[in-house]
Amino acid sequence: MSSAKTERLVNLTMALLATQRYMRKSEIFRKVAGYSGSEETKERMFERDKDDLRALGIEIEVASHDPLFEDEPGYRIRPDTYRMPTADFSLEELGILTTALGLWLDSGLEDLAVSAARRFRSFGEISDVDLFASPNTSEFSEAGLLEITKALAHRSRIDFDYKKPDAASSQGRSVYPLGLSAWKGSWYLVGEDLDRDDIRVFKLSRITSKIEVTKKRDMYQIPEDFSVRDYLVMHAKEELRITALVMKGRAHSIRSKAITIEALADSDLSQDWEKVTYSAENLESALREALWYSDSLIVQSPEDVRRAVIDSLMHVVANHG
Amino acid sequence: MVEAAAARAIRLLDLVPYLVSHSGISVTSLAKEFGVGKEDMLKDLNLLFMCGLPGYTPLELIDISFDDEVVVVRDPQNLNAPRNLTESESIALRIALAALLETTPRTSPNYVKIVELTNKISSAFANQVPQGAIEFTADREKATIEAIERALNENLDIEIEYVNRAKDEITRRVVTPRYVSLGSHRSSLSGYCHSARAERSFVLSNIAAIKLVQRTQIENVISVNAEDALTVEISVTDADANFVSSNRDLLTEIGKNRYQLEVFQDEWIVRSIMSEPVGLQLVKPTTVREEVKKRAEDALHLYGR
Repeated sequence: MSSAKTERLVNLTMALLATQRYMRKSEIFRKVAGYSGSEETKERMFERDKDDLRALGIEIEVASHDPLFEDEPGYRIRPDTYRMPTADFSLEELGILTTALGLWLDSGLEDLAVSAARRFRSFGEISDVDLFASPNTSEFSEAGLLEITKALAHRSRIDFDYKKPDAASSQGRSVYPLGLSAWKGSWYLVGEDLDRDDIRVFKLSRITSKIEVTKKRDMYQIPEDFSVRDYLVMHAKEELRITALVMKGRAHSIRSKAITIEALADSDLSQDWEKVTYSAENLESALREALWYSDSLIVQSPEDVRRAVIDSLMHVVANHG
Repeated sequence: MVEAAAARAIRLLDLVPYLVSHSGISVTSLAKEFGVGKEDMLKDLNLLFMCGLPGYTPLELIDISFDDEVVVVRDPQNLNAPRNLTESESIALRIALAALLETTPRTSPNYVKIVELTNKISSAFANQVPQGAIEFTADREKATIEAIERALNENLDIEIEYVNRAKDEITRRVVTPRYVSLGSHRSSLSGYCHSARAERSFVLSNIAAIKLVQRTQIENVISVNAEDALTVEISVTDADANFVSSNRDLLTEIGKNRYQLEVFQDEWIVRSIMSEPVGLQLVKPTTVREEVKKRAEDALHLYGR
């Protein structure tokens, strides 16, 4: 292994990171250790070094139209893009982040995750966090996740063979990936199918070839308001959204699926009650839950659920009179 | 494909900030952290020694000193802070946080912490991939079953956060698992509960959180006293009532649409009767019958009736 190239790449990174102004190529060749040989050799070296650093995720800024440089491009690495943002992560938060990244061990994204976790650990000595959660790590080992993650990150086109459930054989697809969803152990890619000119959903386990990621970047944009939920049939299921007053510290199984829990604004009830919104599968199960917890939960809306609860309670009284 | 030299350059660039916060670490630990052999780590350190800023006099070079036991960086030059996440890495992190959030009970204080951290991450790492593009829904019951299976295979116990719907309380229990029964209505875990010091069964969907812990010695079993049971008689107008189909094992038919059952928690039968009002009536005992009526009247009062 030639260490000369490694050394040169480190020196180049440090020099571009240190410079306030853009550095011209000639300046780089003169100042940065490791560039030698004919002009042509140096050019070739630099082009490859630049590509290597970019492939590793280091952003090199180019300014080619700066009048000061008479159109000879200049280069630099901005410290704020190179360095981890100082987001004031507490040691506990860093612990949660590295624990989360640990879910990718033994998956295609292991190398990415290990490197990211190591850099979080560079902020300091992180202690273990007792999260009391045990996600199923086998869900993370699906093939193709690394390629799709990279394509999403770079907005690059991907090509793969896909076998539809009712089809006899696979067909080639060219897709701009827009989003990724895990649903109870299966992964789905939502993307723009370029041949069909439409947004389609692909189940990763039905991809029958290797996924090829195009080298070109920024081939498309993902709309700011894009949501995979809009395209996945599992999320389209009609659900009832219930708003209820719930006694503090009670109705635990409602709380565990709460969407929001809010304090009540100034009222006699605010001492003991909170406003909770949650979803129920249908009217029947909403009614059943509200009756089960009728000592600590008052349905406010929708009106038909509230009405049904009151009617049912009246039935109970009549039945047991 | 990233070339070996480039991958090594990244390792050197990341080595410096790591050393800044881990001053005095041994070469062996450092090699382990970076996933390389000790020999390679020594070569890396020797190479770092020669890197630095233009000028390359001792003033501009990265200054580290090391022997086998201790590595210290004296001057990191401009490599003092860790390298930013790449976009791929930040997507991997966001998916992992979403997964962690999914399996953390919403009632846990950690839930709020993870939500806050997720927001912090999305504002700290500028990203062209919007929040809605990544979604994670876990199969909680499946994750619970897999954790129990792992405990069984590795002779471990489980610590669970269990929601008792009848008593409306959450308890933490350590359980030595025995077996899981999968049913169409509900699946349950049977095992020795160290908190109750007795064999118990737990409905899987009521296990809010689970983790594996070292096995605890089983103490003497306290047997359930049969005298604590209460005999209840119910009458059903709708034979398809949910209560009948999901508790068939407990019910003894004593007449047309009349059943008897043994109940260990009054609270459970009261709530069950109330949540199926049209089809179910509690006939005996009178004390519990009156309790059902009182509960319904109290609830109506809450609704302003």
